[in-house]
Amino acid sequence: MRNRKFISLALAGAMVLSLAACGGNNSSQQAGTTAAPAAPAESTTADAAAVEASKAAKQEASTAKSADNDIVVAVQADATHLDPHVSSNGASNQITNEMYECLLSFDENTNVIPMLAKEWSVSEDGCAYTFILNEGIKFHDGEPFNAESVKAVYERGLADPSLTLQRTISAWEDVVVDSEYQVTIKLKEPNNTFVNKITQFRIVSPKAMAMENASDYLAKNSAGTGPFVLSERVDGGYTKMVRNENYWREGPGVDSLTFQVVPEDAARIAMLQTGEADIIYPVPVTDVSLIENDPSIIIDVAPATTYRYVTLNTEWALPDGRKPFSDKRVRQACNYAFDSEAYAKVVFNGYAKAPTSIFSDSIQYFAEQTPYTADIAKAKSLMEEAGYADGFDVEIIVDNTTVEQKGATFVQQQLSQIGINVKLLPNESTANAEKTSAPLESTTVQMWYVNWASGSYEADGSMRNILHGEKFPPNGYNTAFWNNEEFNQLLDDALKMSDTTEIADAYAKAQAIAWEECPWIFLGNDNTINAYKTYVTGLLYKPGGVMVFRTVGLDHE
Amino acid sequence: MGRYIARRLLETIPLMFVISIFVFMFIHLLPGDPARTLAGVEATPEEIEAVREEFGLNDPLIVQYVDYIVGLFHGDMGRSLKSNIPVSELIWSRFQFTIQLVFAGLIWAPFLGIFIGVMCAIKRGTWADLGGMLLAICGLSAPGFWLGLMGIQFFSVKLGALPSAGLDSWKSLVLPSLVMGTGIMATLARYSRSSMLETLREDYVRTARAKGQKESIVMFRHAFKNSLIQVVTILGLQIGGLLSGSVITETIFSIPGMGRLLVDSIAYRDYPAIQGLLMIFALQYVLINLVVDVLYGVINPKIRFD
Repeated sequence: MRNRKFISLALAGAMVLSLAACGGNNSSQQAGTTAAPAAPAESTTADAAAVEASKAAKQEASTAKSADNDIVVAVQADATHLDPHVSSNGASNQITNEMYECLLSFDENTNVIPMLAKEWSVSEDGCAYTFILNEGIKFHDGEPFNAESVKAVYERGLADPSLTLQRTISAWEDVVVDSEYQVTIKLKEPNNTFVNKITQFRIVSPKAMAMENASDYLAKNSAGTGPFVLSERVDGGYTKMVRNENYWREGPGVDSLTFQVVPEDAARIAMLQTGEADIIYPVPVTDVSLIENDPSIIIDVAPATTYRYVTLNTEWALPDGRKPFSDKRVRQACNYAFDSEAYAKVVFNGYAKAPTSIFSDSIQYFAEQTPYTADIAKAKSLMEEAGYADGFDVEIIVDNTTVEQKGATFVQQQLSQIGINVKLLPNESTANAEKTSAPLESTTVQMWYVNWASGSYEADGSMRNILHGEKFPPNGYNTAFWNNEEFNQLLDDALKMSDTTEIADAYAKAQAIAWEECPWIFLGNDNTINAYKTYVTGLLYKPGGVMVFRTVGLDHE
Repeated sequence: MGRYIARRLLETIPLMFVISIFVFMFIHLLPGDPARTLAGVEATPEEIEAVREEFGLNDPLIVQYVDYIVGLFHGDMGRSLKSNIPVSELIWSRFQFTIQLVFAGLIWAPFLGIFIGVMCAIKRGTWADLGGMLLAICGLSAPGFWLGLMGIQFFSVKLGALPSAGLDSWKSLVLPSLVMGTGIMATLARYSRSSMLETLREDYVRTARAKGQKESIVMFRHAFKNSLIQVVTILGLQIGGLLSGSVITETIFSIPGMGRLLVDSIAYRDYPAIQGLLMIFALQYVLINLVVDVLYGVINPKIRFD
C-alpha cells in the first residue's frame, strides 16, 4: 500500500515535470506514455481536415455513455442579461435563443427556415411581409402565442429606445394584426435585410413585457416559446434551463441544459476530459491537440462569421504631410506583403481561413475574389512606384489579449519586409473603443487590428458599418475613413432591392470594389471550434458553426 | 476597550467618505464608455445616447457623485449597468462564493505556516530548518494559476478524484483551498520564523532560561506568544487580500466570486459595481485592521487602547 502511494506520488512529480516541459501534450487515454513534443504549426492544417473526417467514425466506435440526462455546456463568457431585448452580445444570444424563438430562423447553410411562422410572403413592392403563424403554441407563462404577441414585441421596442430591439425594428412602419394567426409587418421602404433581422426578433410573452419591471422579471424567469425554460441563474456562474414539457414541436431529449461560465481555456478542456462538461465552446486553437486523439471527444470545426482585418486610415498623414494609405498602391502593397496562409497557420494553428472576399463565406451573398497571394517583390515595387521605397513608421491599435497581440505582431513582421515599421499600441478593448470611435478631426487611429461579425448573417451588416462612407466614426467603425461613391451607392441600392439575383449582383460588385481598393489588410476568417462528448446527439447548427440545442440528447446510462 | 472599538468604528465613517471620493474619481478617469460597450458594436450613435441617458451618464460628475452618496446613505448602491441587478444583491451573491474560498484557504494554511515557521526557528540551522524554508520558498514562488492547473490535471483529469470547476460540494473546495492557502502558508512560515528568532534573542527569554524554566515553557509561553504580534499583522493583511477575491483562483476553478466580478465590471466600465466592490473592499480592510489592533491587546496586555 505504502509502495503504491509512493509510486503515484513519483508519477505525479514526473507528470508535473513533463507537462511543464511540453505545454501539456496529452490526453486521458494516453496517461503514462511519454508525452510527444508539441506538433509544429504546419502539420495542424492537415489535422483540421483529419479531425473532421474522424468525427463520424469516433461517434460510431465510442461506447462512452453519460452518467445523467443533464447536459452541461462550458462556455467562455457569460450572458450580460437574459432579457432578449436588452442583451447585445453573442454569449447572451446563445443562451436566450434556447428560451425564445423568432418568426423565422437560419439553418447552418444560411437558408431561411420557418420557426414560429410556418409561411411567409412579401408584397410586390417589397414593403410588406405577411406571416402565417403556427397555431396552438404557448409561452412558458401559459399565455397563447398569436399575432397580437408579435405586435406587442414591436410596441415594446417603440416604447423603449435603450433596448437593442430598436435596431431590428428601426426600418419598420407598422405591425398589422390581420387575424389571430396572421400578421403583416410593413416597412418604411424595401429592405433586403428584413428577413435576416427577423431572425433576431425574439418573441416574448405580452404578459411578461407588460409588467412594470419587465426586465427584472425576465432576468429571473423565461417567457418565450423555446424548448427550454429558465430554472436558475448565478450571474457569472451558470444558467440552468429545464426542458419545456409543453414544447410545440420535436424538442430536446435531455432533462436540463446548463451553460456554465468557465473563462479559463485549460479548465474548459479539463472539464470535457473529466465529463463534467458534455460540450465546450470555444476550444482554443492551441489546445485542439490536447483532445483530438481522445476517442470520447468529437471536435467540430466550422468557418465562423468572424472576419479579421486591419483598417488603414486613408486620411492619416505622416509628419511631412504625405498620406501613405490614401494611395491605393501602398494599400495593395500591404496586402501583397501579407501572407494570409501563414497567418492562419502561425496565429490560429491552421484553424482559420485565408480571405477570399471582404467578409466570411458563411454570410449571405458572399462573392469570391482573387486572393492577394503573398508576393514581396510585387509589394516592394508598388511601394517604390508610390514613392515609399524607404517605407514609413506607423502605429497599430490592438486589443491586449494574447491572440490579438499575436496577430498584430504577425502583421508587424510581415509589413517590416517592405519597410513599414509598425508599432503596436495594445490596450484594453473598452479603452480602444473610445479611441476608434473618435471622429476624423480628432482620430488617432492609423491602423486598427480588429474583427467584425454580422449577428444576423447579412451582407449589408457585414459591410455598411465598417466601409460605407457615411459610417465614419462615431456613426460607425469605418476607421479607414474610406469613402467610395460607387461602393456606397451599390450598398444603398441593394438594400432596397427584393430580387435576390439583383441583390447578389450588387453585393458582388461592391465586394469586388472594396477588394480591389483594399482600405484594409485582409487577414482571414476564424473557425468556430466546438468539442463535445461522443454521447451527445441531435445537435443543430446556425451559420458560422453556432450550436442549437433544440433536439439535443444524451446517450445515458 | 469597548470605547476604543466604538471610537475606531466612528472614525471609519469619514475615512470611507474620503475613500468614496477617490474611488469615484479614479473610476471616471478610466478611458472608455460603458454605454458604448453595453449597446454593442452594431449600435447606432442614437442607441448609445439612449443608453447613456437611461443610466444617467450624461449628468455632470458632481451630480452623479451626490446621487451615489445619497443612495449609499439609504443603503442603495445602485444597479449594475451590465446586468441591471442591484449592486448590493450582486455583491452579496458573489461574497458567498468568496467567503467559502477564504475559509477553505484559512482552515489549514495559517496553522501549518506558523507551525513550520516556529519549528524552523527552534531547529535553526538544521536540515529541518532548511527543508521548511525550502517548502516556504517553493510555496511563495509557485504561481497560483500553475498550481491550480497542475492540480486540475492530476486530481481531476488523471485521477478523476476531484471536480475541476464550480462549488457544488466540499470536494470542489479542495483544489481551490490548495491554491488559496499555499501562498499564505509560505508567507506565514517565513514571517513566523524570523519573528520567533527575534523573540528568542530577547532578554526575557534569556532570563526565563536562566531561571531554569523548562525549555517547552520558554518556547511556548515566553517566545511564541510574543512573536505572534508580527504574524497577526501579516495574517490580517493576507485575509484582507483574500476577501477582495482571488481573480486567479476564481478564474481557474470557474467560481463566480468577487475578484472576477471586479475584473468583469472594469472591462464593462460598470461604474456602480466597481464603486460598490471597492467600497466593500476598503471597509473589509478597515475592519480587519481593527480586529488586528484588538488582537494585539489580547496577545500582549501591555499594549493599551487609548
